[in-house]
Amino acid sequence: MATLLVRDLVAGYGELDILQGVSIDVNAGEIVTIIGPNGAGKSTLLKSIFGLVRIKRGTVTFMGEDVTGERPDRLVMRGMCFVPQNRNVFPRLTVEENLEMGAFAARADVRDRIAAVYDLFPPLKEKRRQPAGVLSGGQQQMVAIGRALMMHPKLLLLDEPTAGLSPAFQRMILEKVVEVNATGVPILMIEQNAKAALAISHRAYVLTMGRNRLEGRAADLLLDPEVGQLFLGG
Amino acid sequence: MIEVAQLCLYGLVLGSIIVLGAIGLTLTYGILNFANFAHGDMMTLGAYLALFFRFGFGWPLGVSLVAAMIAGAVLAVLIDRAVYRPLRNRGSVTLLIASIGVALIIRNLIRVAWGPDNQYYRQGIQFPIRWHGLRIKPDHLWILGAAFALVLLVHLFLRYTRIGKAMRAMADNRELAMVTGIDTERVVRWTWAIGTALSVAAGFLLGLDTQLFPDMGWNLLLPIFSAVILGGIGSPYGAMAGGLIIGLTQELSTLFLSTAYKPVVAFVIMIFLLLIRPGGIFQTGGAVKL
Amino acid sequence: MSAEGILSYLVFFFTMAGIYATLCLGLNVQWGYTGLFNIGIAGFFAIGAYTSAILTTPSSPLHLGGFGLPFAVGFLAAGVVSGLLALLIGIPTLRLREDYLAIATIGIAETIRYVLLNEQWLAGGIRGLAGIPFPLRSVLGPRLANYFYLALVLGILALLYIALERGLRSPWGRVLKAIREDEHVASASGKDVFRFRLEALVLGSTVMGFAGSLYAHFVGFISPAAFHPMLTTFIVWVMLIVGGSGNNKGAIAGGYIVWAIWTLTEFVTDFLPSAVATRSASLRVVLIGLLLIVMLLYRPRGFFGEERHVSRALARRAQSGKAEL
Repeated sequence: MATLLVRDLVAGYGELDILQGVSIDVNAGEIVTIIGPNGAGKSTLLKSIFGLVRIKRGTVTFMGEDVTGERPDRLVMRGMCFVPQNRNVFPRLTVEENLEMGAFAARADVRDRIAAVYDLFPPLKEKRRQPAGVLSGGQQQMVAIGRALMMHPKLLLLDEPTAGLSPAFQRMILEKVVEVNATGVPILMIEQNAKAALAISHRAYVLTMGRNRLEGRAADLLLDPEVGQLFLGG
Repeated sequence: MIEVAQLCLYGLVLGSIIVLGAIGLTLTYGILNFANFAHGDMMTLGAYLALFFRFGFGWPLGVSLVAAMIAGAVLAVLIDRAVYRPLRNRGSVTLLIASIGVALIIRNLIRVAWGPDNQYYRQGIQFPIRWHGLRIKPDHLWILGAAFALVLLVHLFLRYTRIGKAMRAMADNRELAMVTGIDTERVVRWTWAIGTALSVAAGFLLGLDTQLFPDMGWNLLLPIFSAVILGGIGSPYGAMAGGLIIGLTQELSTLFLSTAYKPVVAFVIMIFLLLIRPGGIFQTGGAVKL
Repeated sequence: MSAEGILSYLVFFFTMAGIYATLCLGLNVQWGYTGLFNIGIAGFFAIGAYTSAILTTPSSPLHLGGFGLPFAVGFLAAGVVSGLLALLIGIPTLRLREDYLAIATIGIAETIRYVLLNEQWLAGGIRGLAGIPFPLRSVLGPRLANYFYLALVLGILALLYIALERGLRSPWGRVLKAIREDEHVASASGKDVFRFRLEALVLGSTVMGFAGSLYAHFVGFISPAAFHPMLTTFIVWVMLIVGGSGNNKGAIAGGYIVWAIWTLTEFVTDFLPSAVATRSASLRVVLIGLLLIVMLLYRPRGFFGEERHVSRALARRAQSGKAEL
């Protein structure tokens, strides 16, 4: 059973349809990356799946159940967690409180989950009583991802996890993405940094102008000349 | 000098009342993104409810206060359900207009039920205690004590309970709170309940200190807004600081201005802030449009 | 009730409703055209009324006066002074977000009320200002003067309507519409958004000042209590919401409809048992408040309102991450 099935999704804001019939799959244990030019609808795709943007046509199936248009908090209960690109921490709450909020819907063993996040992101442990707002961009990204992991998600959605980070942090974040995936969490990711993202993914989709353009194994797309010209900087 | 100290005392008393009103307002403003103009009238309603429990049922004053706080909280949640929730997506302006409607309804129902004249929780004048040249009414001590206790409770609630942290989270970043899986409607209910309970207490203490009349909460609303903006919208701790500052400045202003202009002082401070530092003195909230 | 009585009541009704319709037109310029959230209407109304009164009343020890100028001067001055006040207020506050502007405008209205109440030398304080001349009353006699005044009010209302409709269709009005729909695009195409907003604020307040003058000369006596911020401001907002904002016809219609409801409630409360009837004014406010909430919940566009063209603007803002999800 595929973890996530998106079929012919049409979605957008108001009268504007940003997505004009997009289909993607995410299978158990995979890292799937979506790349494409600005305005192609990558971010809108993630937000539509997660119930933040109105879906007009098409379906979203998660773990075999239809969740088209379902509210974000219900999706979290089902095991789908989302890390937005911007403003993805609670600045005035401490690091630890941010993580606690991630487990709001969970009732038990919050302490253990927090410990697990600190194992994954050791720098967070020593900063746990600091307000998240004073941390650097890379550290905030760690908090944001850690927060999403608190619910032991069955699918993790990442919106440009390396955006605005230094090269060292970009590498580190992508390494952590692989580490998280290794524990069995499938990941659907959008990335501008196409080359690095494809290098760690199993499969990938190229989106342009709200439609599917290319898809295949990430390794194959890395070698594809069209992809290379458009996105990988030659 | 003694006069200044006396005014400072009055300022602290008034400031404590404003703080209780401001915490509730800043929480609803920060979490629901709307300026609730009915907030002052909920204070008034709370004061009159306590009056009703006191003289209608004969309950002791303290019990009447607690009962009024609970009644107020329940009422606020019901009003939210009936009026504000259906309008949640229509924008902060629609909600503001609706809250003005609610304010006028509450205020005038109070007028119908109790009439426009002053009411009192108890008869007779209290004799002030003299302490180092200051005149302190026992009620002042009660007010300061009650305000401090309530503020402490609120602080513990926000700091150590799950809902309290979720409230702070929502005030920080509402979209992220939804994304995180926080039950936002539940947090909203708690926000109304706590914010209104505090403002009921504020109304009660105000009535205790002076008297009850239908416009009492409305008259305090602008100073409360000033305190909220001063402390930064959405910041309960900012509201605590803001309330005390506004209270002190209002009372100290009587050294130079007629007492009738006290609310105007608060308003001038607020305008000044909106222009120069809309995020409040701690720069925690607000936004400029253009 | 005699035919004569009914007629004079109708004249009174249509005149007062016309004055409020004028206020509503002013608010429509600010809110309906431009999206400026002014809840200090009572302040501009009061300033217009007091200006006109002070300039036209005979001298008195109780207040400033003695200029003895004709009604027309008072009327025009009322508009000018209100407009100036709007200019003073607008320059610092128009860059604020909508709800801040709202709080600022009500603060100003309250300040005006406090000043009027306390500066006795200016306007008679709580006792107010009496003896405001009714134009042409001595010449025409009371009954004909009332008809004349009705004609005057309706005439001014018609003139303002035509002028404002013209303004809406002019290049200036089109820019306002563009700003309301998407201010980023408008400002990107070089329009000074702030200046247009300020102009709309001043224009709307000038109209409100005119309404204030019309009111003062009609009732002959004004006091701060007559301009109770919440009641005056609130009822005009209800009028605009019932009529439909963005639409001048709606503003006028809303004025008449809500004033009719308001006076109707007075008849209804007249029939209530006397114990409750003494609180009748309060009950009437409760009814108007309920009307407002019901309109907001079930018919937010009012009866004559326009479509709101927000979807594209919101879409663009949402996509760039600025608007709320």
